[in-house]
Amino acid sequence: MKKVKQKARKSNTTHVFILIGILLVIIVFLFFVLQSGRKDYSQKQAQSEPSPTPSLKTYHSDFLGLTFEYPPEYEVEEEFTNAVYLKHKNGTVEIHRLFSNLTNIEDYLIGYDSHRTIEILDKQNLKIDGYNAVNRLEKFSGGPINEAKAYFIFIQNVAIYVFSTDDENLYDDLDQIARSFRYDP
Amino acid sequence: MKQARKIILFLLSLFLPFLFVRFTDSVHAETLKVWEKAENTIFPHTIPESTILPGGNVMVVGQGLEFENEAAEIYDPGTNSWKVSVGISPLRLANTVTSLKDGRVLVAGVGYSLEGDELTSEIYDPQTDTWSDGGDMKELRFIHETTLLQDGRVLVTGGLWFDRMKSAEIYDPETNLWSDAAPMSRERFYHTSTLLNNGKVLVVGGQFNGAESIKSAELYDPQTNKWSSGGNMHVTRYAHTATLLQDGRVLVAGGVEDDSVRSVAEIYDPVTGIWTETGSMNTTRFSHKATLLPDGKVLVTGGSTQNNFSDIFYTNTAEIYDPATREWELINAMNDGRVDHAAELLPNGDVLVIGGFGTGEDWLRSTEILRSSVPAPFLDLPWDYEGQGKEFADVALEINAYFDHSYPLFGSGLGEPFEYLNQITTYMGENTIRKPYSRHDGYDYGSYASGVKNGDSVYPAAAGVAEYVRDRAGGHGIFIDHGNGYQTRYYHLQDIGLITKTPGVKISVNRNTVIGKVGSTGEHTTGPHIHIGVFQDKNKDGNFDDNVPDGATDPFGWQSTEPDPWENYSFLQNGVQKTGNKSYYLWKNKIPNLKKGLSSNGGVFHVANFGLTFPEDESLDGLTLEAKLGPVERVTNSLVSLGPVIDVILKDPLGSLITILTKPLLVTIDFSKADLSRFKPGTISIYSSSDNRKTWTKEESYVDYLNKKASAEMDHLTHFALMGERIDTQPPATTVGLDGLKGENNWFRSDVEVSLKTSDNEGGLGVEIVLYKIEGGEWQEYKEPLNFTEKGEYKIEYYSQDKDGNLEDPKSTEFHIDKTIPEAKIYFDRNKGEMVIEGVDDSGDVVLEYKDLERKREQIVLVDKAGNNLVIENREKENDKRLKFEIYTLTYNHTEFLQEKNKFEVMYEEKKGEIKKLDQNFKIKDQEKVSLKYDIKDNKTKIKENKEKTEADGLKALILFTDQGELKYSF
Repeated sequence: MKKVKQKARKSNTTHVFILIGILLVIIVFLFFVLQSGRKDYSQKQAQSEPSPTPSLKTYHSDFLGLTFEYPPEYEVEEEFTNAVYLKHKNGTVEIHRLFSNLTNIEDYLIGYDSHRTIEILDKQNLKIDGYNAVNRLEKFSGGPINEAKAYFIFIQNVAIYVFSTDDENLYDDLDQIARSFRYDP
Repeated sequence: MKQARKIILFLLSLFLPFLFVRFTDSVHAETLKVWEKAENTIFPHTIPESTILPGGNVMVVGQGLEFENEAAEIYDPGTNSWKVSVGISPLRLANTVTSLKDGRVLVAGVGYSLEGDELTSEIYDPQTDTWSDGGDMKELRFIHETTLLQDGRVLVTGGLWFDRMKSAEIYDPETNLWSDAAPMSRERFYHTSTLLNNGKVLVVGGQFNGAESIKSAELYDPQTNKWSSGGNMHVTRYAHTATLLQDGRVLVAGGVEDDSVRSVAEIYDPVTGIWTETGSMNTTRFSHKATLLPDGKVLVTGGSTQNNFSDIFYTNTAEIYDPATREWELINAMNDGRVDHAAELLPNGDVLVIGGFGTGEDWLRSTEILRSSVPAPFLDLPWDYEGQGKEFADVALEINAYFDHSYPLFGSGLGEPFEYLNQITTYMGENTIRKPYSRHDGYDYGSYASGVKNGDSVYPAAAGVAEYVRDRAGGHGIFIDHGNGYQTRYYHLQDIGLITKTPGVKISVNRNTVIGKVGSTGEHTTGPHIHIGVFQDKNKDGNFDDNVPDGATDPFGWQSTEPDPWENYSFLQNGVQKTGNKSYYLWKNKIPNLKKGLSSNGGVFHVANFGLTFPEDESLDGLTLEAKLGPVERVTNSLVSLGPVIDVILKDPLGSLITILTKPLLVTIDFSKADLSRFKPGTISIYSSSDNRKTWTKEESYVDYLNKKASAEMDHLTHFALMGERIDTQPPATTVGLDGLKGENNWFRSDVEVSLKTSDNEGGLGVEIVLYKIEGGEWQEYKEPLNFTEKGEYKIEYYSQDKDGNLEDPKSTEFHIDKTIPEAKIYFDRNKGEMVIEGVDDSGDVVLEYKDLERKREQIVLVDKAGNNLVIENREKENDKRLKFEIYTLTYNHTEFLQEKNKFEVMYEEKKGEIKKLDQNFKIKDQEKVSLKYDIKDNKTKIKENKEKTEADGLKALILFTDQGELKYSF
C-alpha cells in the first residue's frame, strides 16, 4: 500500500511539472504569435485584402502613384501640389507626397523634424505595402496644430508618402487609410 | 550636353567682350505694364484729387453727386478696399489735396458744408481719422494749384472764382493760418506748380482769357516772397502736366495750345533756366495725369484728346517717358478712358488711377492699378532635366521643400508669428504642417524623381552676373543678379566645381554655365539638394541683401484666389517697417492645369489631346475655365474632325461668359492617335466655332506632321477641333444573291442561300462591316452566306459601312420558300359537261399545262409559283355523255408514283341543259371503290361505297384528288 502511495506522489509531481512546462510553452508560443502578428499586421493587412472591403472606397492617383482605401463618408479633394485631402465633417486626413535624396526614413525624419518645434510622443516602425514606414504621434509647440498623428511611408528613389491628421477622432480612420496604401504608379 | 558646353565655352573665349555686352542686354527681361482693376470707389467724385497718407493708404477728395458725406474716401492697397472719410464738407469741387509734412492732409479751395456754410480749407488727421477747419483762405478759389514748400508751408497760386486770379497765399500748418503771398505776374488757372530741388516753385502756363493759353513760366522764392521769370515754353499750354524728374529738371507735357490739344513735351532746367523740346507723346491729351515712377520714368495716363466742350474725347491710353532716351512709349491702355482723374504712386511702385470723367459718359467710380513690376517669366529649373529626357512640367513639382508664403523669413533670421509656426502656405494657398518647411524662402529640389542627385551640375535659372557667398546655414552659395530687379540664390553647393569661390568676384553666366555641384553643405541640410531662392530688389537700389526677406519671391507666383499672406505681411526689421512681396509666376515654362482659374500670369491647360495656353494678360484675372470634350463633328460629308471637339468656356467672377480675348489663346492639338490615312494630305487644320457648332471657320494653323501636333492662335472661343477633308466620301455598295431552285419572282422550292457581296468605291478605304437583319430580328454582322430552309416568306435588310464611316443606305430583299408540290383535283363539271382538273396549292395560283402524249395519253403539269410541279399522265375518253379519266402516273418534282389501274367514270343524261341522271364511279383495278347515282326524279344521290349504300339529297359530285402520290376521292 505504501509503495503505491509513494508512486502516486511521484507521478503527481511529475504531472505538475509537465503541466507547468506545457503552460510555459503555450505562453511563449502565444507571446511570439502576438508579436509577429503585430509586426506583420500591416503586411497581412495589405496582403490579405486583395480586393477592397465593400464598405470602403478606393482612391487611385496616377499623378501621385498611389492607391488607398478610405471610408465612404470622406470627400476627396485633389491638389496639384502633390497632395490629396480627405475631408470629413470632423476634420481632414491629409496625404502628401514628398521628395528627398536620402536613402532611409530615419535620416529623412531627422531632417524633416529639424525645421519644426516638435516632440514625438509615440513612434512605431512598420511595413506598409512592403515599404519601411513610421507611425508616430506628434506634439507641436506653436502653430495651428497641437497634436497630430502621421504615417511616413518611405519608398527609396521614389518618394515619401505622408498620411496624417490632427483630429483625434480620425486616428482610427487614419490607421485604416494609411495601412491600405499601395504604391501604384 | 558636355560637348555642347565645350563648344560654347570655346566660342565664349573668342568673343567674350561682345558676348558680354550681348548677354548683359539680353538679361534685362521685358517688364510688362499691366493694368489691374481695383475696387471701385464707393461714390463717384467730381474732378478728384488725391494724396498718399502715412502708411500707404490713398485719400481721394472730390465732391460727390449727392452732395452729402461722400466727398472723401480712403483706399487701402493692402485690402483693395475703400472707406468713406466722414466729416469733410460735401462740396469740394476742383480743390487741391496736399499731404503736409506731419502726415495731415490739407484740402484747399471753395467748399460748402451741408448747412450751406462757406468753407475754404479743411484738415484731415489720419491718426484720429477726423476732419477739422483749416482756416479761412484769403480768397475763394478753385482750379488753383497748391505746392508743399520745403519748410512745410503750403503755397496756393491762381485759380478761378468769378474771374481768373493771379493772387497767391500761404498756409502755415503750425498756426493753421493763411497769409497773403506775392501775386504772380499774371492771372493763371489750369496751370501747374512744381517744387524744385532748390526750394523754389515753378509755375508754368495756364489759361488766361477764354481759350488763350500761356507760354510763360515764373518762379516763386519762398525765402524772399518774390516771383521771377521762369522763361517761356516753346508753346503755350494749359491743362498740361509738369513733373519733377529725378535729376531736378521738370518735364512738361501735353495740354491745350489755344484751341489745339498738343502732344508736345519740353523740359525746364532750373540750373540753366532753359526750356528744351523733348520727344512728343504718342497721343495728344490734356487734363491727363503724370506720375513719376521709381525708375525715374514718367507715366502719363488718360486725358482728353480733343478740345471740344460739346463732346469729351477721353482716352484710356497710357504712355511712359524715358528721360534717358527722351522718348515716349505707349503701354497697355487702361481699362477705362478717363479725364480729370486722380493718380497716385503707391509705396510699392504701382500706380493707382482713380475715377475721372470717362467711359460711360459719367464721373467714374472705377479704379485701376498699373503693376509696374510684373516681370515676364524668365527662369528655368537649375539643372539639366531636358538632358535627362524630362520636361519641365514633369519635374518642377517634384519639390523637397516649398516656399512658405506664411512667411519666408528663414534667410533673415526673423521669427514668424506663433500661430504660423510649423505650418506652411504653398503657392496654391494650401495650408499644411506636412510640407517642408515653415519659414522657407525658396524651393529645394533633390530626388530621384526630379533627377537632382548629389554631384549633378547646377546651372543658372537665367543668365546674369554671378558671385560667391558663404552662409552658415546655406553652405556654399552662388547668387546671380539677372539685371531685371531679380536675383536667384543657390545654396548647399559642393566645395568643388564652383564657378567662383572668391567673394566679390562677379562673373557673367548664362544657362549653359555650370555654377556648382549639387551638395549638402551648410548646417542642417537634409541630404544633397539644390536650394533656389528668388529675391526682388524692391527698393531698386541695386542691393538685394537689404531686401531679405521682404524681396523674397515665389517663382510659382500666387495661384490662389485668397489674398497672399506674404504680399500683405507687415513686419519690423531693424526698426524699419517693411512688407512682404508680391509673387509672380516666373518660370518660362508653364505647368498645365496649375489651377482652375486664370490670372494675369495666364495659364496652361491640357484636356485629352488639347492644350490651351492663355497669355499673360491682366484681363484674365479671376476668370474660371471649363473645358469639355464634345462628339466628333461632321461639317460636310467631306470635312470632319479628327476626334472630339473641345468646348472652352471662360467665365468672369459674376458668371458671365467671356468669348473674346484681348490677347490670343494658343490652342494645340495632338493628333498622334488619329488615322491620317483617311484625310487628303494638306487639308488638316484647326477650325473654330463661335456659334455653338453651327458654323466652323478654318484658322491659320501650324501643322507639324512629324510630331503630330497642330497649333493656332485665336482671340475668340468657344469650340475648337482639328479637321480635315476625307479621302473617301462614298459609301460601299452591297448586292444580294439568292441561290436555290427558283420558280418565279423570288419563289423558291428549295432551301435558299442568301449571300451579300459588298465593295467600296474606287479609291475608297475599304469595307469595314456589313450588317443584315431578318425581319423581326436584330442587326447582325454578315460574315458568311445565310441559309433558309423553312417554308415561308422572308425579308432581309442589309447595309454596309466602309472604313471611313460612310454608310450605305439600307436595302432589302424578299423571297419565299415553298417546297410543297401542288396536288390535283378532278371532277365532272355538269355545267360544262366535262372533266375538270384543278391545281390545289397553299401558295395560291397553280398553272396547268397540257401536253399530248402517245397512245392517246396526255400530260397535265401543274406548277406553283415556286416551280413545284405535279405531272399527271392520264388518258381521258369522252364518248356521248360518257367520260372516262384514267391516271397512270403522278410525278411530283420529278418523283414518279406509278398508279394502279384506275378509272374515274362519269355517265349522264341531260335535257335542255339540265342533268336528269348522273352516274359517277371510281374504280381501282376494276374494283369499284365508290359510285354515285343521281336521279332528278327523287333528287337524290345514291351512294355506294365499299359495298355500303347510302343516300344523299341533291346531286353530289365525286371528286378525285391526288395526295402525295395517291389517288383519293371525296364527294
